[in-house]
Amino acid sequence: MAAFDKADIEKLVDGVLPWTAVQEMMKSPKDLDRFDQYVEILQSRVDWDDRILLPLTPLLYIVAKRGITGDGARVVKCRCGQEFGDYRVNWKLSSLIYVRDDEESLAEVYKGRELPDPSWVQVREYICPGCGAMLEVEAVPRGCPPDFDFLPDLDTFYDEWLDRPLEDKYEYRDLTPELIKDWSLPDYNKPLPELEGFAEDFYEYCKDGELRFQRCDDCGVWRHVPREMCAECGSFEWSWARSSGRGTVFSWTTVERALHPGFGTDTPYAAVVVEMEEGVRLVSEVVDVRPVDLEIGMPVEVTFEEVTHDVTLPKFRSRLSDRAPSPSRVGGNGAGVRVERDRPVQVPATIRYEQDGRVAIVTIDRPEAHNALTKDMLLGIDAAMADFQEDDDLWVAILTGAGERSFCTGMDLKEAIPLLTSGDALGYEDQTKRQFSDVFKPIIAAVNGMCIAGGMEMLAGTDLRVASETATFGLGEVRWGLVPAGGSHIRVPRQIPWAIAMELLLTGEPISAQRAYEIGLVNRVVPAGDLMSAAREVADLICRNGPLAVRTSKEIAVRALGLESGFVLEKALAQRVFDSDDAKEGPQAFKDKRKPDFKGK
Amino acid sequence: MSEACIVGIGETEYCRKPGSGVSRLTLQLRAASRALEDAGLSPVFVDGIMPFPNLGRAEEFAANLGCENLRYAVTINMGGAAPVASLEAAAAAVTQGLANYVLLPAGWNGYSGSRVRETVSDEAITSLPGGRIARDYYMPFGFTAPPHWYSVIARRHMHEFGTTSEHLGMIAVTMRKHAQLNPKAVMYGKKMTMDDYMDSHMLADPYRYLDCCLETDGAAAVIVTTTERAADLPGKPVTILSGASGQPYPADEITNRKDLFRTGLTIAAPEAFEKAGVTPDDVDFANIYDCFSFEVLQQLEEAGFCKRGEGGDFVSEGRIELGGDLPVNTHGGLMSEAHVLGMNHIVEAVRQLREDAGARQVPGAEIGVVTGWGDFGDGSIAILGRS
Repeated sequence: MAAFDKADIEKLVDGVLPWTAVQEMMKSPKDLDRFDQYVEILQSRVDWDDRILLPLTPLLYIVAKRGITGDGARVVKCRCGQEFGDYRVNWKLSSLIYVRDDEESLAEVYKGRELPDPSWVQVREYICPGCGAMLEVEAVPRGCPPDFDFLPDLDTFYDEWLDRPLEDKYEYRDLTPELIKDWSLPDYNKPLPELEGFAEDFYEYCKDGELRFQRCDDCGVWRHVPREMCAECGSFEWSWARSSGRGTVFSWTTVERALHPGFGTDTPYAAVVVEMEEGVRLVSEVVDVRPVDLEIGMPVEVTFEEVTHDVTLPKFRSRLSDRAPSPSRVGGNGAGVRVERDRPVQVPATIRYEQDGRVAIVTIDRPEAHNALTKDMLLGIDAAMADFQEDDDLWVAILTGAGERSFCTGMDLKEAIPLLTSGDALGYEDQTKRQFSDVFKPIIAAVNGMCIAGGMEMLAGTDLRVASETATFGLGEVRWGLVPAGGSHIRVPRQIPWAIAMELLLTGEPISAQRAYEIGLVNRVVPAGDLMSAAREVADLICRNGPLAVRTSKEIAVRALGLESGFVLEKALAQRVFDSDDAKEGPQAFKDKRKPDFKGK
Repeated sequence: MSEACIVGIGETEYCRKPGSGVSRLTLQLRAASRALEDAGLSPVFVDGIMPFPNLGRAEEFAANLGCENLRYAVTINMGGAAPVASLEAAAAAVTQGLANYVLLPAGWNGYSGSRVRETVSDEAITSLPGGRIARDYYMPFGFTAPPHWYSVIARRHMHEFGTTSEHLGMIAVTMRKHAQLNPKAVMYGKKMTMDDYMDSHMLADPYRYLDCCLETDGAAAVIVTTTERAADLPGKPVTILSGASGQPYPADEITNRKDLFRTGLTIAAPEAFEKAGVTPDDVDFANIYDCFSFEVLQQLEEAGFCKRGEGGDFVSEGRIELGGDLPVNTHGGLMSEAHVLGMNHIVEAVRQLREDAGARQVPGAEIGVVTGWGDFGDGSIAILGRS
């Protein structure tokens, strides 16, 4: 009674069999070859040869391995080919595990009243290391071991149900306890051992973010490991000196958990021997390159990462600029090397969003139009900053403009005026907020030229500012019968003295970089060629600090200003200007290159 | 001047699961007793004991065996290079009259007891030469165990000389093949192909799981005396033609060497060949300390069996197999017989030179070489000859 054929089962596997047919299938007796057909379909959809013995989940199968060890070992295997070891061991222990155990991460999944109490519950997502697919999710009491949902008695199943015994017999027993009995989890992520003298000093400097080696006072030879006498010149005098932090990969290996890394968190990772410019070799970790992409001779630069609360270890980032150029990477601009962000952030081609270590760099790249913003560009900047805010690996952002003439000259009036007059809020529906209102990580503006109108409004949303000597600053809106309603009325008078804020707002006349420095609108003025490196210096100073502390510090300062009511007021009162005839006359005169004829209406 | 020789060898069974079930000392005492029995010697005559570093003390051995006249109790602190280096020292001791009969025991519960991979959790690390450097400068970065330390040398060799994974695989496969002729070997009856090797998972790149030696329980021991004294004993002695040992520079740190391939053996091997008056071409077989596959290749080069950089070719096409140009580790080595700290390499060499190696006998073996490798590249070598 073959009520259901292979095509039906195929549909069942795909989840497209009509529900009525599924019910029918469930009600009627099973066809004898149902299981075989089912497995045959699954087998036809994987691109490996190992024989599927039993599906475990939509993506996981128990297979009999072939060829590898020659003994047909039964292992759990993902559709992508990733293996999870003996099927009698909980496969979850070989997967990547994302744990949600605080309110913030749980809230991403459970909304409102559904939010479980993180002191009782944790959610674990088991992810395939091979393909990244989420294999299973479990919500369990804190500390509960990973649940081993299902250990099938394969031999009995094949013997008694299929009447077709498997070639080998396996003892039907959960082997998980055997696997984990040697795991010394308490050792994991432990702090440094009790160090002696020399090493203690080395790590103390590391905690300050400085890579220092000892150097012979008499002959200048550098040493990384403890030596009391200089084998080169016989001197006993050593001092600590700061390393360039630059080196190349001399050799490398990989560290995986089976060998008790003790200090690492994500394994496997590459442990490298780095040959420093000073002529000493140092063992460390390269953090931004997969082991397969490591090359001997690859240039690397030292950074410091917090590994535990107590210890900071030097790690190395590859200096990608010196490697073969690839389309996903762009060259540096006096501020080290930047890598295009590989996260899916929607930015138009005229906004560049890059990463250089801990620093995000957002560049307005439309110099031919004085870096004027279209709506897409405005939203692109906001998307990039939102991503920056979210990404724990990014600590400081630098905002700048391409070219040497303009930082940003505000909205592209040709596009913006029709949008604004038609009531488009340009993404700012919430009247209590202005640009960067939600960004609590530091933003450094590197002002490379004209910073006027919307550009100046944007600047008022940044924190530290470095300007080139040729930069100018101004809010010229009133000259064209408009008002800068992007927050300038609220922010600017709180950032510079009242009289000068009024000068900017009411005269519409721009000021020079030097004047901006004198009134405290910018922190530093530097020659145009040094702008990005100066901004980077400031960023690096901030990056030395505790990121949580920095973030919180800014958040307190910003939120304590209580700008929200001011923004609402600005929006409400500005509307009467935008609705006026003068607001039409001004831009028209600007377009016609003539003096406007204002009526005050 | 009188010559030194090996007059007794002894071994326990070698095993993994479930472990020896006895203490480390008992294991070694069993091996020592069998060596004494093999030599036809009463323990009371043993007046020299050279225990393996950190695995036992001469006093314990003497008290348990009944060596009432102990006068030479020395441990050479060279890790896995210690047994072969001890052979050199024992030979010097007996020929110089510092001792008459010297016992060299080595053994451990390397499977059921403390594992090498767990060096990080073991106090032993700080008693290694350079142990504090490893603890303070390597381990914080996960560079914790011997495969990590040595793999960076292997990687450089691959980079500079084009050595490949296949070359390393050839060594692993050959060791396993030899073990199929040795019923004592833990891997006896467990064949392995190049495909198996390639499929084994990457442990400390470029070392795969199958590039590593075994972790096993077991002990072995040998007894050294002079040829004059050996003449009064029933067995067939094996002559120690020469021995030498050496240290890389600096020996306590592995990464800051000018030349990573210049290890202890680079210094020791020419000295040993010169003292023995033979050349590498005269050697019939070599038991090379095979903690990892690459260390075999590297020692073959530094011992002078081939030029530096040519090790890859040297281990290819069956040249290090029984019947090849230079059979290496006919017992299966640390990789496929058992990890007995290299003492099993000496035992196997004695067996070969007594023509007592059964199915794996190298026909007409006259001269054999044994090497040791330890800690961060300490090296030792002994050249043994049929008496």
